[in-house]
Amino acid sequence: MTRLRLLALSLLVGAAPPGVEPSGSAIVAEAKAFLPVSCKASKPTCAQAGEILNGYLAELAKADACAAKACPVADIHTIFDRDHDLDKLEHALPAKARSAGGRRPFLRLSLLVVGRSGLALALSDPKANAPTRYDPPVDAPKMVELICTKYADKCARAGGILSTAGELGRKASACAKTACAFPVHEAMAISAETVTGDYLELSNEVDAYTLPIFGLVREARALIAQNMGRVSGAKLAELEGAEKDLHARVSVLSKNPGDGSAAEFDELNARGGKLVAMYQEASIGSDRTLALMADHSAAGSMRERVNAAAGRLASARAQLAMIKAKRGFGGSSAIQTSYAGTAGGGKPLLVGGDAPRAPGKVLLDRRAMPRPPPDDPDAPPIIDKKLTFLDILANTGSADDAEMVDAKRRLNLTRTIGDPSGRAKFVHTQKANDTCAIVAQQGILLAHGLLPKGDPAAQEAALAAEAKARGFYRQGTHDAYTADLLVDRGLIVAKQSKAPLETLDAAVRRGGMIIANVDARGLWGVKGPNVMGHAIVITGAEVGRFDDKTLGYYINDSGTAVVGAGRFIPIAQFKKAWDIHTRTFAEVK
Amino acid sequence: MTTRRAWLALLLSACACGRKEPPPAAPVSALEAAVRTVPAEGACGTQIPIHWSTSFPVPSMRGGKLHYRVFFFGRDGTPEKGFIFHSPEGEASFTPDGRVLDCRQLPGKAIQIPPDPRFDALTLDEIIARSSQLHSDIEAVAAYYAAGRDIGETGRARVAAFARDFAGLADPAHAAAYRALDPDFWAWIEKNGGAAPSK
Repeated sequence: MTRLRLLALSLLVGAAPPGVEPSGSAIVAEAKAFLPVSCKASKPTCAQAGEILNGYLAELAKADACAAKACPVADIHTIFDRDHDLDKLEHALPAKARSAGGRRPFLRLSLLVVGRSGLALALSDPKANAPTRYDPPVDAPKMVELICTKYADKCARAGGILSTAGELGRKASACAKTACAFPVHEAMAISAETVTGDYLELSNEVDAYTLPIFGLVREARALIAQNMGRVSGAKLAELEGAEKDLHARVSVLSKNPGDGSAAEFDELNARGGKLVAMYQEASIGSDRTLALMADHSAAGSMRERVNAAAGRLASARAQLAMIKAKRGFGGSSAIQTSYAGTAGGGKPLLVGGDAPRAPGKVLLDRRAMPRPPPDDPDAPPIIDKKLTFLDILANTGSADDAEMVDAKRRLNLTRTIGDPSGRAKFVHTQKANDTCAIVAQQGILLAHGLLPKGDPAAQEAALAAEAKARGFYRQGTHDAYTADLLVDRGLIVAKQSKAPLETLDAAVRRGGMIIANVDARGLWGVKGPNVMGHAIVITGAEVGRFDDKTLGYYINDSGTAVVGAGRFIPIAQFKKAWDIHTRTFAEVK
Repeated sequence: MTTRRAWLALLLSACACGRKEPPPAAPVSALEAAVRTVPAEGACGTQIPIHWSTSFPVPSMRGGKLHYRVFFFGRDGTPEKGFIFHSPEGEASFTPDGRVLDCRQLPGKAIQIPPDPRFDALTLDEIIARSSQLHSDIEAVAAYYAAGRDIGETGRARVAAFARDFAGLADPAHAAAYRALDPDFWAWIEKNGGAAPSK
């Protein structure tokens, strides 16, 4: 790294095209001219600024001498060390006393010192290394100055990354000391991910040593991750405790159906709503923590606990809705849910983050209780043609799995799970190449009454824009953020990864809608060696009536021009598509 | 169970006797299992969109320990109109047991790559079986590569098999990207009688 840095700085000093970068004398002149500016901006640090300038000039003279005539390597190391000490002093100056017009003239002078020292070192001993150090807060601004001198068009971007990273670090430190609201942590997490992407992009475009800049970004990320992990963990613990209380009371009520007044049911409902809000923060916070910690080997996941909490919460709420309906306290199809901050108010809650880079405001509607699937659900035809009884009988032994299941279904030897026909209308052909997971979530939101009916393509575009603003989508949806638009709107979702088909099957049999990530080649009849990742929605299953074996799944598939609404996929075919991909799914509870 | 249904079930079990069960899938190598889950692991879980494809892994000894490098790429199109894949849009390295070491999206706009017609005559099952074989080849060759000594005739035979299977499956349009994953590995392959992706 040090060699790279030296190379970059040597280039700055010697080998760059004339006219592109300032000459050594121009840098020196600029630094000298800046001293009165610095003194005017901050009188108390004027003397220090003078010492810094004179210090750099003295080291530059030494470096120049050693670049002209070889010096002992130890002497050149001393120049490097002294330069770093001066950098620290420069860093300690008030912002207004060290920069003007977005430039830091003393640091540019420092670049000159290091560049000449590098040449001197090469002259003295080509095999010698410059002293190694890693001090991002001090070195990162210097590297930004380097980028600015070499690439004027990238200067603003580099400065923006530096300033965002610095601001994030300061805010995260403040939030570590004084509790901040969850949306503040979230906004910082999104911003940290975005600035990381910006840095990676810039680092690929410039031929300069940029790691100190990444160091600042990484430090900010780690701090934000710590905060996010702490806040999410606390929220999860709070949720787990509160869930137990809710579950205990609901259990008592379910054993003694006569107990409980209408007012108590209302109170329990409201409590359930608050728990959903806690679940949202714990779930999305868990995903974001994982994202921020992903480059740390010690990254842990709260996902298992979040899934368990989701299951308990969904179960308690469903039980409550059932008892309430039996007692005649309100309808059975919906449960009133209020989120933290709405306290039972009727208006939707607008949740947004604050600077920096706040997520777009997201409308959280009151969540409809997922309707349980019908007792005797209907399913679209597996093979849509008339067959004689003998044909049907013959097909029960067909080598074509779809024909075989179709025949058994026609003979009433199977039963349907979920609601394949009822859910088949909630899919359309995706309009973009990378929105399969967006359309999958759109279908689920529509099925739960959480999106108004409207133009599907416009809704898809709006949801994609929202997911982008929330950091869930960048050139497609990432595994960690699958289904987070659903969580954002109050649905309870359990996510599994590296799951065997048996785990997925157990979830399908619970009857909810499931987003599954699969290899689409086998679903689409595409031949080729490239696994084609794709998100589909499983809307139901067909199982043997006597042996209870899963025969296949009904899916909504947005990837085909003839939209796959309630298409039946035999289980062997599905298994191939499942096993070859990441084996991840999200189950709406 | 009603009597009528029971009879029907009995009848069907007789009908189904002629039905052949599909052969069990070949076991998947540890490397192939790891490659499948890489897009959802560690940093890739938030960097790599789930619809992107993953390249075949290339062994690498950077840092002194064996790991693998892959790139990721998106696609345009529909099953009806056909697909066009992209040049690499992301890359990752991971340990032999599937732990992702680093993962990121690559900057810049991807280039569209015309479809590779070599697989039209094969079934998907055949392609998947070849792919599994190639992953096994890569695992075997990686062990030789990591050992860092003369690999003998047996080793050279494995290298030749790997190079042949790789050329048969990897898209030639991605050749430069494969070479860039680890030039040292491909130099070693060439030194041992195999061919690097065509230049």
